[in-house]
Amino acid sequence: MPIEIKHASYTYFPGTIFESLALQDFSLQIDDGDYVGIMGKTGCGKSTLIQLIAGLMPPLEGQIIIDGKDINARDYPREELRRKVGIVFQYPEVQLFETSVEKDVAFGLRHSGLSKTTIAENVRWAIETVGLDFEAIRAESPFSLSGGEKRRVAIAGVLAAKPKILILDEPIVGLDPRGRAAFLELTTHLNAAGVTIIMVSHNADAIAENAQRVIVLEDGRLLINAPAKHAFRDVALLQEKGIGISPAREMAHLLSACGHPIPQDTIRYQELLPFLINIGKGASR
Amino acid sequence: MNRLPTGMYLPGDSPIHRLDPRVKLLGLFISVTAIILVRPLIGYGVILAFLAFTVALSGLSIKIALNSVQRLSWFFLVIFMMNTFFYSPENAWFSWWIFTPSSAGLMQGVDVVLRVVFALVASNVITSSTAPMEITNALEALISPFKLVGIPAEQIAMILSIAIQFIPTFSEETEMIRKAQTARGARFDSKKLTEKAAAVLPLVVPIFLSAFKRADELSIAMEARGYRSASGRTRKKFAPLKVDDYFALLIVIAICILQILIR
Repeated sequence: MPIEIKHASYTYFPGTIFESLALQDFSLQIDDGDYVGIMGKTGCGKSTLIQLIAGLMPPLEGQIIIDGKDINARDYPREELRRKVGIVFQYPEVQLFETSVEKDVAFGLRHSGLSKTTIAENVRWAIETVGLDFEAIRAESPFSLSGGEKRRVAIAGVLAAKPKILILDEPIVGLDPRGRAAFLELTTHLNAAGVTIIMVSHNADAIAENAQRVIVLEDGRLLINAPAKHAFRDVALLQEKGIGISPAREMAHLLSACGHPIPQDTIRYQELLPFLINIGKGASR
Repeated sequence: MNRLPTGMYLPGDSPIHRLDPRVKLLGLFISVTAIILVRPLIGYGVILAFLAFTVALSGLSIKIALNSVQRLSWFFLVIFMMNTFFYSPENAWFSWWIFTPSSAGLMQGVDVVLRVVFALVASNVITSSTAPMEITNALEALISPFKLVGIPAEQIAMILSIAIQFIPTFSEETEMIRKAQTARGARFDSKKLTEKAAAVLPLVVPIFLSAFKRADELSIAMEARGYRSASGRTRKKFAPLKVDDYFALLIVIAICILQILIR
């Protein structure tokens, strides 16, 4: 069942001079198993949107419906929501606090009501899924790890609940190129296993390469909501709004402006490559 | 959290906002003295009228002025009860075990609670109408005469201003970590006291770590910019006091003297 956001509005500090509108009459549907990339300038309402979906705050107006149920209804089971929706904030490594990696990853499952063996299995699975050696790292203090490992452990702490919806807020900021590639691969891997991925990022390349659907927000409203292939079509509009486009899309745009026939839904490097090779062949001939 | 923190500065352009911060701080000190000195009923009336006048002039809402009064209601209740039941065994309504409720105690309870509320309102008006940096600047100016007896005024002001600057940073960070842990399944709303104590760990540990890290980074940044000691540093000069400032000081001093005279 999908996530439905119906006419949601959110304002910070209403009624004071610090009042600021974050979302205005916002409606959106995200299907199960989708991989959604959310883009927009700082302050456009992205963070508010994902926090509403995660049920961390209720919208001032409107409803958030997950699997057919209003998650802010009085009788909605919070524990169920926490296990269903996982959220990885920017710099998730700050949330580490336990004495061992294993305990930290298991923290979220304490109140889950799962059996000890299931919890142990989930923890092992989560740590291995983020690409760490479970046996080698389980007893380590999370604070003795490197920055990249800390982030993986923190993400494992969210994955351990096996969420069906995984929200990622700028997950690749500060990672080295290899860490970034490994992380994005992890998200597509989870997505292939049926997890709905919602990724907020300023990195147009990461979104174009991985997301199936792209959502662009502007001033608390929906500017673009389209399949990734079409979302980057209007290069002039995106540039005017200060929203990035993927290098492959930009290249395709420039090449077609130079008279090369390249389809305007080329957004990924792998799609662009054959055309580049053809053009290269034409030039050398 | 979608509520403004208590005592947060609310920019404005009221006569109270425009007062010199030194005058405001000194005025607050004198008014609290007056609130402590107040004795007869008419004295309370004068204080109440003065506070009402100040709040109205500041353009702040009653809600802001009474900020945190509600949150402290348990504290008030306890103080009130303690005074009522333990004030004095003389003229008690009845005496049972250690309890000796009396009308004198009841009056004393009301009196203490009123004074604390008055002091709260006065400080709310000042903190809500003055930028934090202005308050620390003013504090530095006010304690600088004590440098003669060896009190390191600049250092104190520097420590205070750094502490104040970091309040919003830390409250934001706490909020973010609280959300992250909540989303993972942490419970901060447990009823059991032992669970409640355990529940703050996932908050306290990350905040402490981040505080130490920030302190480290800040000290490096300060050193990199050539910071050596707070003494001998130049600072913002205050504009000379205006008519309004003298007038405000005059009013609070007059009220304070009045409270002494009618005691």
